[in-house]
Amino acid sequence: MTLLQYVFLLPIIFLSVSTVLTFYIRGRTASIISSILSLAACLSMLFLSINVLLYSRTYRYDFICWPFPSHTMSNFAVFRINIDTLSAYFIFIIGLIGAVATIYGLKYINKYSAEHMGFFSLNYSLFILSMYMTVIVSDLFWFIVFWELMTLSSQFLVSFEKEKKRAIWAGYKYFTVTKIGSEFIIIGSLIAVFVLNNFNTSFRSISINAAEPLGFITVLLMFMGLAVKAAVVPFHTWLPDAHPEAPSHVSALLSGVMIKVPIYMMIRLFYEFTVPGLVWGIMVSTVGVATLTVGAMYALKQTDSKRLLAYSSIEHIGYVVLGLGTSLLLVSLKNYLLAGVALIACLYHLINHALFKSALFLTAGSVEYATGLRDLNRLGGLAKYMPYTALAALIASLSISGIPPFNGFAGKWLVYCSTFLAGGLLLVYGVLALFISSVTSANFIKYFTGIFTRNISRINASVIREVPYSMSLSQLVLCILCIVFGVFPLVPLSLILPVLGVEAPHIYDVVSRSVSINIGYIGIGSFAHFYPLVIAVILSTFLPLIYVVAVRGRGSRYELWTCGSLVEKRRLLYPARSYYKDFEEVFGEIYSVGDYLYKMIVGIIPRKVCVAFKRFVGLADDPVIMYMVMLIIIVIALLVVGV
Amino acid sequence: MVWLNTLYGVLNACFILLVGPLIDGVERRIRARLQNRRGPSILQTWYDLVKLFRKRAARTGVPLTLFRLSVYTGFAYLLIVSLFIPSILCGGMGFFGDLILFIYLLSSSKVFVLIGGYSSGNPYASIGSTREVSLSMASELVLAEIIALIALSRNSLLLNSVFPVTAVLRPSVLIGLGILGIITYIEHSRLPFEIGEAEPELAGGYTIEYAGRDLGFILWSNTIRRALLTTFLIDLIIPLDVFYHLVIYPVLLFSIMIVFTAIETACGRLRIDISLKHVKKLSYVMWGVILLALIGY
Repeated sequence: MTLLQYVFLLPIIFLSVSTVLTFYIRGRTASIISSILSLAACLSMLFLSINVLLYSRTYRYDFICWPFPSHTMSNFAVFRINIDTLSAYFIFIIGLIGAVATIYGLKYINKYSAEHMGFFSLNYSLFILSMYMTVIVSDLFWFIVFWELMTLSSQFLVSFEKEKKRAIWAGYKYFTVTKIGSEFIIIGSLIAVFVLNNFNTSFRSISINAAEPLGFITVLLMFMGLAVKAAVVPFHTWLPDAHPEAPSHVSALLSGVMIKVPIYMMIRLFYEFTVPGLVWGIMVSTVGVATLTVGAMYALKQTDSKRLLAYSSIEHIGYVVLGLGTSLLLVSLKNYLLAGVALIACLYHLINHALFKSALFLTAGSVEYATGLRDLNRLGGLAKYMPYTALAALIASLSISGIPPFNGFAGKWLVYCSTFLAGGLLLVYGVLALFISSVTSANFIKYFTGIFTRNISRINASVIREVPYSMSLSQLVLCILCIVFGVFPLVPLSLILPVLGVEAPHIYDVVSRSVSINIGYIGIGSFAHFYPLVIAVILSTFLPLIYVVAVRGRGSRYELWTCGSLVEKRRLLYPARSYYKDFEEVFGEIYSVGDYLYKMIVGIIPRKVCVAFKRFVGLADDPVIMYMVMLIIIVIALLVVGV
Repeated sequence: MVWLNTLYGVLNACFILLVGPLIDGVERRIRARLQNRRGPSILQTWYDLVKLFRKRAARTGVPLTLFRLSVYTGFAYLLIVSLFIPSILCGGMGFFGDLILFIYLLSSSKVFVLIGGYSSGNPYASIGSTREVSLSMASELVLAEIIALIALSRNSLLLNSVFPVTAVLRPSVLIGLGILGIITYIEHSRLPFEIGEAEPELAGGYTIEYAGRDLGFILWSNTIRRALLTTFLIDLIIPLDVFYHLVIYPVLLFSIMIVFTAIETACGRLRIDISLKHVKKLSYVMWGVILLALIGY
């Protein structure tokens, strides 16, 4: 017991040692050392999180950094760590995806020159460390510190390929946009700490009354800051540039884990710091549904494999945020059963997305490793040469499209249940979510068939071979987890329900009474139920049967039918850009609205702000005007604080 | 109870598997008569299938296993659906899923068949498959709206409580059923909307490279899908009662199919973008119906 209490130190020690070592060691050695240490850290994270979740433990530590004489200031001198079930849930995701991505990265990173490997390894360890610290600290001040560290280290990972101008630009854009986001969090936290909570920075003592104007502004600022990092519409523009540019296992970490960290803070914000009203439920769920629509519809247009995955990440964050918003809305309407279902949906879909999106990014990375290509128009026919990668991509694509026994369906099903049965506005959102789910399956039909089926074209087929075992196995491990999490909902739910028990006990009571769960079954009262185990059993009995009866026959080999004319095989390729052109044209309103907003937010408004700022600088030469402006600002500040 | 329902489910599935090609045979006869031809026997589709099953399959797919296995996976998904919605017997394995699962299983089977089409490597198959995916995306929007309407009027997603939705007779439910009828027609891929296969234009679309046993299973799956979609429509209309399902259901099944055939005979194929526009208009109408239902009508 005493030793267990200090397990949480293990990842910190491993990753800090790795960070310090890679500061001095360069080249391939650095990457091997940092991989081994990161793997050890991730495995200890998994151990810690399972330990916390299964036994519903809480580990709490207050380290006093330096003794302060006065009472009010002494709050800042304490480094608080609190590992409850919510933290442990996110530690589980970080540990799981981190471990798999690290194993994958061992061989994958050999693609790049050894020159900057030390710098890369340093940032890699620092990135995992800062994500871990962000979810375990229980103090707003330290939260912001590690949050910024996370942005900084991941920014260097994004622009790792310094030779490519696009990578530099993507890293720069990512850093500036998310930095602006974190300024919102800082301002919100400052108000929360100094004005509303009497200099208390501890999570336990922060409470914000969202009904008063100042509390509302505080919550809004913090939510906006978190939304920027989570790539929620309209703050999503950095993600499709940043995530594809990073090395693939880092993209898997960015999309699978990092954009989930803001969701962690959102849950803390809305379930611990404040009691949000109806307005917040409507706002958060609206933002969620806008995010998923924009993400999926823009993913339909992409022909770059990793960019398509990045847009689809935006979409799935939309599902998660929609689940969160639905639960907030229903809590304020006192419908605790469906609110609980929505919160479970949020957490369930979050871990599902971490699994299949990491797997997909890894497969995209393998394809890039083997062929050096990301363009879906030019790729094709790789299943013959890379069977394991193709299998992994197929399972992950089916999961993300929500084909029933896989995990993607289970998460989405919970979202639909909570929205469809709630009625009202949420019903409309549920319809959009269900529609967008079919767009997702179209996207991933394009992703999978564009890379792995059809004819091989314009690539030299003789040089393509399957990726090393460490890479293909790490993809397949994630796929097996996709199947397990889908067929046996008890597995993820036994991780999620402890979170509910701590975060929202009143919801947990209702949920534990009305939601029936067994090893392969979820039933929500007398409203809806779903038995994935039965489907899996039926499929796994039918398919071998049919295979024996029908497929086994050899059949004779024919060439493709080309209307009788002799055409070169590589010219028979239907390019990925023309897959859904008609659909894009007919449902073009979404694109025109999106493009208009993009033009406004990125082009016109900043330019006007710049012009206004220049005028202001002109005025600022006059001391009298500046004095007046100062006075007005002070008066407004006093008014705000006075409220 | 579970075992009895399982038995019902298996019998229902057998019924659907047998009657799907039979309905197709009847339709062919009627189509022929409407066009002043003699037409084949009503068992002709079964004869065709049996002949195809005897033939050897052709192998052209690029990942060969996927090319062949996807057909059968799609077929297995249809089997699951036929196990769990009530058709000739009023019962089934409804204990393992709800309305959303029904929609997903149906579209999953289509996804598998289309992946098979893509992996044949033929550009005609790719064109047919992309068109089919586009059309099913659009009709999924309308289907989602219909599910929302049903969930709203019955306040449940369980099959036993949803069937029949006509137990609450509201204007919105009636209009919704009408639109579901149109969507069923579109999802049947009948002539103005027969876009994925498009025999004269794409020479079979996603089925172009299939032959023998595989083709037989694709054709069989198509008839089963049609029967299942129509069954869903009928289940929403008639009460969940032994008599109604044993007597009225087959009559309705055949008569709806015959009406659809009669409409089909009078139509030519639409271009993909025009048919997408039609479906989109339908979704606008459906938004209005949902609004009506939300107000309480």
